[in-house]
Amino acid sequence: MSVATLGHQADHGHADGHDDSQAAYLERTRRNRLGMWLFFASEAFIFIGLLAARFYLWVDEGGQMMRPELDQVVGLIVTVVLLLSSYFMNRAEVSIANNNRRDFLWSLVITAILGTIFLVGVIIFEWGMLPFIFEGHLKPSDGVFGAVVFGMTGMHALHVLSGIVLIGNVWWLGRKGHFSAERHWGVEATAIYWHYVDLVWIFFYPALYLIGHAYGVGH
Amino acid sequence: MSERKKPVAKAKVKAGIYRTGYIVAIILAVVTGVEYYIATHFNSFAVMMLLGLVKAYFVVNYFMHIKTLWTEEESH
Amino acid sequence: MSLFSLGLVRAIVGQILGMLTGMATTMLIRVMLGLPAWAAEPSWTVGAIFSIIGALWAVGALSDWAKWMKGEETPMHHGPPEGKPAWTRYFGVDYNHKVIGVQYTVWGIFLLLVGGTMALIFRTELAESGRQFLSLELYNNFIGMHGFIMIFAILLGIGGMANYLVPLMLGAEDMAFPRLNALGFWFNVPGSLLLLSSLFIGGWDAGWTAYPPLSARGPIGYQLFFLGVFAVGLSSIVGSLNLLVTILQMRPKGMSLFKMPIFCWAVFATSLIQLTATQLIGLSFLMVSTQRALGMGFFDPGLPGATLMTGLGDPILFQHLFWFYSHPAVYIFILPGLGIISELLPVFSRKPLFGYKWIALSSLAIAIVGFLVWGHHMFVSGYAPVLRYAFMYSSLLVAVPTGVKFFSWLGTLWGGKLTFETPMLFVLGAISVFLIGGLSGPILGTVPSDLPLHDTYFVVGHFHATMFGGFVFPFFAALYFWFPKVTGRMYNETLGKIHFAIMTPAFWVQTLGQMGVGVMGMRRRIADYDPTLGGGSIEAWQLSITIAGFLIGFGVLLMLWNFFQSAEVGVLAGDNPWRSRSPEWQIPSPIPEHSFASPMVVHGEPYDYGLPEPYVAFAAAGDD
Ligand code: HEM
Ligand SMILES: [Cu+2]
Repeated sequence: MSVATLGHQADHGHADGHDDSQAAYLERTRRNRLGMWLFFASEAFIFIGLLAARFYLWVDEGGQMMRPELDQVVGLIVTVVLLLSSYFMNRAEVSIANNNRRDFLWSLVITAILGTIFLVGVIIFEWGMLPFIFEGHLKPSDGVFGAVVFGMTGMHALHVLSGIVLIGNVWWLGRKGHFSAERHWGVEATAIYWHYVDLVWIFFYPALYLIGHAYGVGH
Repeated sequence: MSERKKPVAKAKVKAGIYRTGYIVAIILAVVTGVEYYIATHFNSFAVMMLLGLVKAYFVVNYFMHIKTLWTEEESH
Repeated sequence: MSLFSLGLVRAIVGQILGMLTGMATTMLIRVMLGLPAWAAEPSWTVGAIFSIIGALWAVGALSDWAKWMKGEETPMHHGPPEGKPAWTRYFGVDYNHKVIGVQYTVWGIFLLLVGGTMALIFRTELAESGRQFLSLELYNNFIGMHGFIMIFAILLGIGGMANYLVPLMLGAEDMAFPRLNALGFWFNVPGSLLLLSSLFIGGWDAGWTAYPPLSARGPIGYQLFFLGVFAVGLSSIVGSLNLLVTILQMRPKGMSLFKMPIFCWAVFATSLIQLTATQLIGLSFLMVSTQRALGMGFFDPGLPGATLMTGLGDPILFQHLFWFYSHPAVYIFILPGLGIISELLPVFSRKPLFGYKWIALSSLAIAIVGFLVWGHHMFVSGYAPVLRYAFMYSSLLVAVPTGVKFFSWLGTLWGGKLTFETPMLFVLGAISVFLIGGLSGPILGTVPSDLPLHDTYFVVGHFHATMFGGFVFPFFAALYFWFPKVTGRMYNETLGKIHFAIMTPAFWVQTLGQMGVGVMGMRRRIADYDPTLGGGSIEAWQLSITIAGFLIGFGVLLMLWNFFQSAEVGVLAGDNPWRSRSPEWQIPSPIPEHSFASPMVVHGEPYDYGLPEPYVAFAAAGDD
């Protein structure tokens, strides 16, 4: 039976348009999935735009590619933390698909904790928002270095924050027994969103920390 | 990894898939280390981007299972 | 029935309350940080963000998502709201794509009237040289505001046509994501209200393109303007996402992509652009906004001798980011309209669409090439000279797929049994007007001729011709054409023809007149001009443009009056007054709540007029 006819029956089956069969659920999930990926494609343009701004602006008079000398240890740690969180997010999804609820819930908790550590790392160490703990290197108003660093990390942090909220929500619903091995689109959506946030960082990390000649910015 | 050729969504319900997660995480960690090493020793834009693409491939393929977009899932 | 049962009223109240909450929050935070409580710009900015959420929340566009987060089921409600008159559904959140399509269209026409009024005001100022009654600030505000309100109006008009027509043309019950569809519409309400209210807190005076450094320093109105654009941009993004999924996954049995009605192709290409490029205008405005609010100097070069730590921002970067959206945006404006032309021509010539595949692919080609030409707006910006060549040649390349469309239209008309009802007249008018716009494009796309013409009224004439030919005329054709489907009644044909007879020549005068004064040396965005330009003839030209503008306005009012009248007293139109083969005409007018009583199956080709086999058929009722 082709997808199109399935979709049609799903729409006509009940007057209130809510067909509860597994086939209809899969059909809805297919649509949701495509929608989610189109959303990623759309968002990619923000991040590509920011990267373009970074490579356009961080150039010195001689045309050399530059970067501000940020704290490499902080950069490496938050990167690894985010990567680890992606592993646990994946583990959560695999677990619910195997009906392993304990593992599912714990993996979500660990993912959220790691995400929070990433966020705190960015806010305290990258941004220096709490100067009594750590004196930051840059302020937003420090020329194009400040503007782009805060622009890129800020946009990314906003996505991390929303991801953490989603994970919390999925965890709460999961505890109430909301997902099953056959039906867990909510988990899948949150998972691929979280991986997407990780994916963005895969390109932001080298762009911010690794590429170009270091330019001392110590305060 | 024999799961690789099968539709990911189906593979998702096999217990062996846990192993894929470990392996991908380890690969990502190793590539990140290489990235850091190259950046601190050589400074090459092209290599950085290339390594970024390698990591992106693993994330998109194994964590985000992009294949589910075009493989049919079976109803249970 | 209380006023608050109207969603629109709740949205506006919610927006005001949201604004106040945002302001209060800002003040609280400032007090906690030990700063003086009131600071205008942060308060208005945060207030504006809250106001968008407040409006969406109050109208109820977010409530189903809130329920999902709580794990509750949200069964889909069909039909008018319970316990309220049926018409109220048009003023609140409704998930039926036909209702949402009408909401988009009506809100779009409302904005068209607001923007048109502003244009008539500053056209009156320009009718004579010297300064009459508009202050310079207000003049600057009105031209920018006119521009962006019209862009909103166009986006809404497109959203209206696409939401109403695409599911019907695909034989689908609704869009893929009905809730997202409603949310997409409701974003526009707080968005356009924010834009309009920016006039009252200082406005914004840099024209619709909002180039820094002016936009980074001007009044607070800029922040409301930016956030208004954000809200409408979000509507574009979620709307196009929805349309793409609908087109890709909800086609009926037998309808391959190349058997869709051609309008769906136009919407598909448009949605691809909208989905992606819109982010860039959001980003560029966000960057200006943060430069204003937090001193993030993306576009601020700093003092002489600045380093990467103290400046070196670049205003040209803004132009790149901005035009990376705003050039493709012009194709967003015209592709659906061109789709309407291709859709209606076969109906009124009783012939197949000439070169269906070529038209379908040319829409995609325009969408893709359109991403490569943004730099033709920047020939005089001072970017690397080699870019001039690149963008000149890529711009001229766009003429190829556009030409394909023209030849296909001529091929369709050729030897057809033409009839000239109002929709057909507007289609022909659209072609004539778009031709003017299309021919002036390459003149601007060529560097040597653009250098003297840049920033003159020639550009204004150029884009009015492309937008009227690519959107306004086809949109009006579509309104007349589908009016009987939406209301079940026929509009008044005589009034329709009078509207056409007034508007078309008036528009020719307007657009050619604008180009003419531009060649004489009249700069755009200037409230006054030298009366000796054009050997002293410029005032006569300006006066004719103003008169033409008023005639167009009169024509639009005539059309609206016609529609209001005919919706009540027009003759019953029957199900298929145009003898069209398209799916939406094979079902009753007005369309019942569930459009298709039984699943649709595609047999033939979409535009095979004169063949016995129908394009679509419906399985016998009750077999699903
Ligand atoms: C044959 C294809 C076209 C070419 C080669 C072309 C070229 C150009 C160029 C070079 C400019 C910049 C003029 C200047 O500022 O000096 C321009 C402006 C403009 N064009 Fe086109 N154009 C074409 C079609 C269109 C279409 C189809 C639209 C649809 C609505 C359009 C809308 C505009 C607008 C809105 C502007 C003014 C932007 C502003 O405010 O500065 N153009 N065009
Ligand atoms: Cu352009």
